[in-house]
Amino acid sequence: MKFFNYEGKAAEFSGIDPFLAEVIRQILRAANSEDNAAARARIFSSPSAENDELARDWEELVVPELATQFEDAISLLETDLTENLTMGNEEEDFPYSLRIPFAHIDAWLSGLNQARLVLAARHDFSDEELSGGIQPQLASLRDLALYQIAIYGWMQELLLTVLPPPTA
Amino acid sequence: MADTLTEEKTSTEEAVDRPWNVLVHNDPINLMSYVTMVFQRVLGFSRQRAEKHMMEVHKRGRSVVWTGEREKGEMIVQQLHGYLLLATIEKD
Repeated sequence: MKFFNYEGKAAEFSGIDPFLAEVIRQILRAANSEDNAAARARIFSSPSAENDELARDWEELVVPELATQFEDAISLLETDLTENLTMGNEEEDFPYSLRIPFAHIDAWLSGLNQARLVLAARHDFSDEELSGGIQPQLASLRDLALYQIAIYGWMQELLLTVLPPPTA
Repeated sequence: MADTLTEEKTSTEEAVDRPWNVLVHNDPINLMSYVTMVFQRVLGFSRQRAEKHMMEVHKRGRSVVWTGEREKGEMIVQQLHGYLLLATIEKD
């Protein structure tokens, strides 16, 4: 897979094989924490370990705002995956490319992070497993989840390189 | 008597004015480069300062990234949660 700045307008991943294209499409499903309490607890973490009142207020007032923010990010990813994950010559081994407009990079960083956090919480991976890198063989859904976490992290690292420097 | 009253008042004021700390806690998922970027954006840190706090989170498990009034601290925690960092607010 290659990564480059497309005409100063977008970040582009190219040379993607069909399997990796499907892994990228699965970001949307991976980011969904609705059916898993541990994943939801990580995505909407408590603002205080010692102040129950603050935690209750947070759940009522802040969490809905954060949920909307995270859903909006996922919606942009869905749009890009529908419109901008395209196949070139189908006879090639690596025919897919994904173009992400610069204006969508924040949403991608959020979506990729949501997916990685949900997968890690859902499978309760140890620190050792998470630091193991990309698995050479995918023999189980657990292996696949680790692979997704690594690939999505790699995409995050690359997208961070094309962000403009933060302004205070 | 006057001295005692002054001391009591000062003690009460200190209790009320005790600042709040915003802490960021380590997690094995968020990338170091991502955490550094978030600190720069949310807290206005220089890259060098952001990396220092990021390394403190990584090595010591947490870092106090901001200290001040509760309301402002809660806003910062909300922003940090928006970036999916593990952040809490605690009284100093």
